Order: sequence, then structure tokens, then C-alpha cells
Amino acid sequence: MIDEIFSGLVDPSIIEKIKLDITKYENIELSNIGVDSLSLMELVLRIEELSEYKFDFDNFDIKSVSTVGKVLKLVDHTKRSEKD
Amino acid sequence: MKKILILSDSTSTSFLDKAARKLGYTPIFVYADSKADIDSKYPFEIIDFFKDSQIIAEEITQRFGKIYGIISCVEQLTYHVGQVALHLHLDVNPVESYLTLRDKRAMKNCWIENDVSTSKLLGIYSTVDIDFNSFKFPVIVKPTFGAASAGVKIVKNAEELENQVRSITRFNVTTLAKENATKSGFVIEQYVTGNEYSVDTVWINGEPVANGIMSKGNPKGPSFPDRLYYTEVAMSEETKNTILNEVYKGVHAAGVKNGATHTELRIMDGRPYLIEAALRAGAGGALYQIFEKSTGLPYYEYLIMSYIPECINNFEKDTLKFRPKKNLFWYNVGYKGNGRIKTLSASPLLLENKNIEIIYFRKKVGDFLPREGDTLAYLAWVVGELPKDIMSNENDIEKYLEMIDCNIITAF
Repeated sequence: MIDEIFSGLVDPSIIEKIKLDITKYENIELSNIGVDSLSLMELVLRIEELSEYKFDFDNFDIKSVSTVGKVLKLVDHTKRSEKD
Repeated sequence: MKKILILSDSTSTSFLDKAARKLGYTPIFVYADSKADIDSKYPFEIIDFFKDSQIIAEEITQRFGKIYGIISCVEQLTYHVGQVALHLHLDVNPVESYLTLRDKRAMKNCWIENDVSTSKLLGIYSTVDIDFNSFKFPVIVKPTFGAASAGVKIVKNAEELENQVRSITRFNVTTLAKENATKSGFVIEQYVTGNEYSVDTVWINGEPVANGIMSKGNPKGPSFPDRLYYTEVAMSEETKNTILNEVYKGVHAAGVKNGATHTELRIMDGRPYLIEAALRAGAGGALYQIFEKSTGLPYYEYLIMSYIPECINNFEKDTLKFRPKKNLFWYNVGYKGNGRIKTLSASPLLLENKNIEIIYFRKKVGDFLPREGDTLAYLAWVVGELPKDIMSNENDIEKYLEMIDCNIITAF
């Protein structure tokens, strides 16, 4: 899932580091791992495509996807909700 | 040393530097952040123009001393630069004109109020809560704050409209966050067909002192990324006048007095329809090299003069007459796929093509390239002369451009 979300947006070596130690990267800002506004748009699209989560763009807060942990929780939470 | 600040990108730096120095000014190239497209061969500075404009003005004075003008060729920064110029007493346009030509909602309303010929407005929305079934299709939908025709699409039914609105609002809340335009919304308007043109105009004291008209063919969609622009030697005076008269009307209505504008329009059934205009030079200034090469006239010098108050106040030069001698083109290369670029090159076929003068790579290995059409991104620009044997046939031109696309090799 981490590969699917970040592949092509973040340097592969950083993706591997995230996979090895998610806890260490939870609070890291996306901008600090190379995600700019153009790649953020792609990231938001991937979250929707991978998890079928639909953002409410009329009330969207960019802080809701500002860290690695928030993005992963969003995808993971949606997937768990689908299982329930 | 008379310093001027110039905001552009690497494709125009050498031309702007040469023109500025010829006029007796020392240019300092300014970029909004270190990740911008910087030409490091020329002295440059980083200034975050998205900060408070008063603070930026004070910073500029501290760092550079007296400045004689600020030239911005960057769409997203034009309004902010205008604000800073005001604080430095270097403003060359009313502040409202920057807003009018940045915000398509304001632009559209301005043109309608001033009887400028433009595609019919069907709605301006800042929320996705609309009745998608209430329109007669096809329609054009586009972001209110855009550039590079990002997000502009012709849609044929309610479902397509809803999908594209979603894509635009995604663009707004992410790509436009820095510009504080996340709730800027979208515009729905009449789809106008016919040949499309762009007009770059340099204004001094409310008068057009230089024009560059480019033909764009008849793009049919569904998306409308910037593609081919070329100086059409065979364009009739009647077509030129039709185009220029409406462009002048549209830009005057927006209150522009000085600086550069870039206007896009179509001609349908003999009537011009303004699509949009921007208060900056087209393609960040890159199109001006085409005008210079095709006419032999000093377009970049006129561009720079139009932003310097002392030049504006003392302007006595002739208007540049646009009479291109060659069908020179600027082409934005199309691409498929998206992601972090692993390899990027031009094939020998393209590099050795005698009609192609320059290939500008707008991205490099390691950069992220987004999906084409929905956001602001260019992969590569090609500049050259269209071969004479393809000029009379639209299909031949299309095949020539496909050849260019196929010979810019990218891997993700």
C-alpha cells in the first residue's frame, strides 16, 4: 500500500525507509519528503482511487493530508471500514 | 547601475538579460523558491512573493537598494508582484486589473459588462453543489484560477461534468493552496469552435505598442492543454484586424495600461470570441523569441520597457508592426503516464531535424510529472520552423507534431 501511494511521488529510498519504520515517519510532513503541490494533487487522487474514499472538497483542509501518518491512516481507516 | 527585477523561467532568461542590458539596466532574476526553473548562468535571488507584499517590498529595498522596475512573466505571481510594485512606487497598472485577469469569474463579468465578445457564461461556482443535469451539453468547464489551460475540458453530459468538476476542485485545493485560491471554484461556459489564436501584446500608456499573433489550429478537445502556437505568414490583414480589435477591447475593459498581456480567442462563423486573457507574457516570455526571430524586431526590449515607469513616461518609440516572415512555432510536447522521471531525452531523429531549433526540457530526471491536462506541468517545449510542405494540410501538421511527441523519450 505504501508503494502504491507514494511510488513516483517520493524518492524510492525514502519509500523503503518508511516501509521499514512507519512509526518514525508518521509525523513527517509530506513537503519534507519531496511532495510539492503538483504531486499532492496526484496523492489525493491516489488516496481516492486506492481506498474509494471521497474527499469533501468543499470542506477540504490541506492539513488532513499533511503528514505521512495522516495519509496512511486515511487509506487504512477506509479499508477497515469496508471490512466492517 | 540601474537594477530591475525579472520573474521568468530558464527558457527566456538569456533573451531578457540581453534586452535589459541593451536598454541600460542590470537585471536580477528572481524566483519564488529554490525549486523553480532557475537558469543558474545568470545572477538570481529567491524571494517568496506569497508573503505579505509590504514586507517583501522592504526586503527588496534592503537587499537591492533602488529598483527601477519589476517584470513578472509568471501567471501565479503576477498579482502578488503587482502589490509589491505598488509599495515600491513602481506600479504600472491599477491593482484591479491584475485581479480581473487572474480570476476567470472577474474576467468574464468584466467582458460581459463591457460588451466584449466572449463565449456565453453558463455559471460560475465556488461549490460542487450544483445540478449537473441543468445544462445543455456540450459545455466547457474550467478552473476559475488557472494557467496552461489546466483542467479545461469539453464535457458532453452530466456525468462527465460532475467528474471534471471533481478534478478541478481537487486541483484547486492542492495546486492553488499557496495562492490561497482553494475555494476559487469553476466556470461553465459555451463551447466555441473554430480556429484558435493567441495574441501577445505589449502595452505602454494604454496603447498597444507591440503585438505577436500565433495560430493554434482548431483544437477539438476533450482537454485543451497548450499545444501548437505558430506565426502564420499567410494570415490575412482582415483576420489580424478582427483578432486585434476584440483583444484590445477585452484588455482595455480589464483596465490594463502597461505591461504584457496574453489573450486567447477563437473565431467562429467569422466572429471573434475571447476565451481568456492574462496580465503577463505568453509561455513565461518564451513566445517573444518566436516574434523576434520571425520579424527581426526587438520584442523583449519593448516587454521590459513596459514595466519600467521611467521608460513608460519617456516612451517615444514606434509601434512594432507584426509581419512575420517565417512560420515559426512553439510546441508543448504531449506525453502519457505520470510519476517520477527516470529517463528523459530527445531522439537523434529529433535532434538532427533541420526544422527544429531548440528543445527545452521543462522537467529533469528525478522530477515529478503529473498526469497531463489536469494541472500545471510541461514536459518539454520545441521551437522551430514548420516545414513548408505541411502548412496547407491540418492532418500533416498533426502528424508532424505526433512525430515530435514520439521522439521525446520518457520513462518513469
